[in-house]
Amino acid sequence: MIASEEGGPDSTVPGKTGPILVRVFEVAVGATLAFATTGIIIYFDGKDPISAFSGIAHGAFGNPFLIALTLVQMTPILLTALGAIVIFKAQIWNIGQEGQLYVGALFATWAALSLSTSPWFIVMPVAVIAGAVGGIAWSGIGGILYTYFGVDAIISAIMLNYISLFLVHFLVLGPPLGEVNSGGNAISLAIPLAARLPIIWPGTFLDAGFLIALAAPFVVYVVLIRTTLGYSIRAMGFSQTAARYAGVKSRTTVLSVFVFSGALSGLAGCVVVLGFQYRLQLGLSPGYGTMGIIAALLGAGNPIGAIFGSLFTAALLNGTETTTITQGLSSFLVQVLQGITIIGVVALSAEKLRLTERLHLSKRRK
Amino acid sequence: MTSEFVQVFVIGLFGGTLSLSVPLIFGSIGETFGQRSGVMNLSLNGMMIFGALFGFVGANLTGNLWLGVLCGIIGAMGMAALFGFLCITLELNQTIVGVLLSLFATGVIGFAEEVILKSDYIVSKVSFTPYPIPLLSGIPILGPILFNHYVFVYLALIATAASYYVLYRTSWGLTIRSVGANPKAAHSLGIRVNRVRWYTTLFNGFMAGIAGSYVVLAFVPVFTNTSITIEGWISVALVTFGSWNPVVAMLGALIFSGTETGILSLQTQGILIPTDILSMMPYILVLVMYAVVGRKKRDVPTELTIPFRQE
Repeated sequence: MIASEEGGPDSTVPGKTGPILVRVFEVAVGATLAFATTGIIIYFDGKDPISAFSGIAHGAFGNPFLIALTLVQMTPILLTALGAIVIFKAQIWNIGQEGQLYVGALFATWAALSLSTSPWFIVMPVAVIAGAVGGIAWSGIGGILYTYFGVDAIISAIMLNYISLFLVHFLVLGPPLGEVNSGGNAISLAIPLAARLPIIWPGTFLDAGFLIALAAPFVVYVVLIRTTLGYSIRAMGFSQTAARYAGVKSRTTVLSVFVFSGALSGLAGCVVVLGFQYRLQLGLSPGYGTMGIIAALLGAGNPIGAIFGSLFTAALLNGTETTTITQGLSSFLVQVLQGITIIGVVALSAEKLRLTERLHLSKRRK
Repeated sequence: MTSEFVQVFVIGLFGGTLSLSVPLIFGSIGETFGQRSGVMNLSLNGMMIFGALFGFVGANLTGNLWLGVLCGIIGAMGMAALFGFLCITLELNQTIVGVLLSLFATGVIGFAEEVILKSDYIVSKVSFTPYPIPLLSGIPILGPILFNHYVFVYLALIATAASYYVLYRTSWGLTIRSVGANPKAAHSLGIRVNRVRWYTTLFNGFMAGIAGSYVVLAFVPVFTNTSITIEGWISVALVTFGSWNPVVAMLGALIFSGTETGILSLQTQGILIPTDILSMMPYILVLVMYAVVGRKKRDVPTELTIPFRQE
C-alpha cells in the first residue's frame, strides 16, 4: 500500500490535502462547468441565464439578511459534512447523514416538547444533546448492521434515510409531537421558546447553532489528530484491507466511528429545528445530508476545508432558493449545479490528470 | 367467493410479484457482470433514472415504444460511459463516484422534468400492454400468473438464464470473472483488463436502460421524479445477496417483490396498517435480506472496486 503512505486512497487525512490553491482551482473549474452547462439549458428554456446567475449571487450574499440566511443554511451542511468526513476517513462509505439529521431533529423536538415547561438552561442543553443522541441512534443501526451483519454501509444508509422520512412523517401526525387533531397535517407543534437557540445577529435569522457548527471542525480536527479514536480512524483509512485481516479494525472502534459521525449529523438536525425552523416536518431538510457529502468532498475531506465547502454549497442553495421563486427557474437547479461542480472537482482531482499528486481520491494498489 | 379470491389475490400476488421484480432482475444482471469484472457501479440507480427519463421522452416524442426503450438504453449507457471514464480510465474511487452520480441523477431528473416536460406528473401517451403467450396463457390460474405479462417479464427470465450461461459456461464469462478475480494474471494472459471492464460497465448501463424504460413505459406508464426511487440500490444489494450469481439474485428479486406485493395486498384485505409503516417495508426488507446473507458472502470478486493499472 505504497499509495496509502503517500496519502493515496485517503486524501482525507488532515495535513495531507495538498496545495490549497490547487483545490480552489479545481472548484473554480467545476463550478464554471456547472454554470456553463446549466446556463445553456436555461437559455434554451427561454430564460436569461445571466440574470438567473446574478440572482443566485444576490440571493446568497445580496444583503446582510441574505448573508445571515446563507450562514443559517451552512450550519447543518457543515455539521453533516463533518459527520461524513469522520466516517469516510475510516473508508466506510456511510451516506446516511440525511436520515441521521432527521432522527436528530426528531429527538431534539421530542425533548424540547417534553420539557416545554422547564427553564431554558435545562431544556436547551437537553434538547441539543437529544439531537446528537438521535443521530447516534440512527447511525448506530447502520453501524450494528455493518459490523455484526455485514450489511454494506451505503445500502443500509440509503434504506435508513428513506425509513427516517416515513418515521418522522408518522410521528408528527399526532401526539406527543403533533397536534391532537392534526387531520393528517404532518407537522409538529412549535418548539417552546425556552428551547430555541438564541439569535446571535440581531435582525436576521442567524442563531447560535452557527457557533456550534463553526466550533465543530476544530473539535473534529483535534479528535482525528490527537486521540486514540482519531488514530484508529486514520489507521483504518490507510489500509482498510490489511487492517481488517490483521484484526486491527475491532468492532468497538468501528462502532465508535459510527457513533461520532452520527452525533455530528444528529446535531445538524437539532440546530435546524431548534435554531431556525422551530417545527419538525418533512421538508425540514432540502438535502442537507447530501450537500454535506458534497461539501466534505469539496473540502478534500479536511474538517477545516469543509467550512469553505459548506459555505459554497450553502451559498448555491440559498442563492437558488431565492432566485427560483422570483425567476421561475427549476427548484432542482441547485442540485444540478452542485452535482456538476462536485463531479467536475472529483474528476479533476484524478491522479491520472496529473493536476495534483496529493488530492486524488483514487484507490489503487502498488 | 373462491374464484374471486383466486382472481384478485393469488393472481394479483404472483403476477404482481413478477412485474415488480423486472427492473430489479435487469439491474442485478447488469451489476453482476460489472462487479464480476471488478467494477462496483453504484451509479446503477442513476443509470436507471436516466434510462427512465430518456426512455419516456424518446417514446413520447417518436410515438414508438421500442425506439423509446432504445433511447432509454442510450441514456443509461451515457451515464455508464461517464462512470467508466471516471473510474476505469481516470481510476477514481468507484464508491464515491457511483454515489455522486446516483445523487446527481435525482437532481437532474427533477430539473429535466421541469425544463423538458414542464410538469411533475405526466402520463405516457404510449405504453406497453401485456403480451399473453398464445395457448399457455389459457391455462387456468397458471396462465394469467406466468404467461400474461409485459414482454419484459419474459425477457428478464430469459436474460437471467442467458447471463448465467454466459458467465459460467463461456469463455467470455471466464474472461469477465478472471478480470475481477485476478486482473494481473488475466493481463499476463493477454486479456485487456480495462477494456473488459468498459464492456461490462456499458452492459450494466444497457440493462439499467431497459429497467428504467420498463418502469415508465410498462409498469406504471407515468413519469414523476419518484418513478425510480431505490430500484437500483435494491439491485446492488441483490447482487451481494445472490453471491454474484444472476440466478440467485433473481430469486432474491422475486423474494423481495413477493413480500412487498404481499404486504401491499394486506391493505386490500382490510388489514389496516398506517401508510407510513407500510411505506417503510421495502426498505426494511432490503436491510433484513442483506443482513441474512451479509456475513456469509461467498465467491466475492476479490479485486472489486480496485482499479487496474498496467505496470
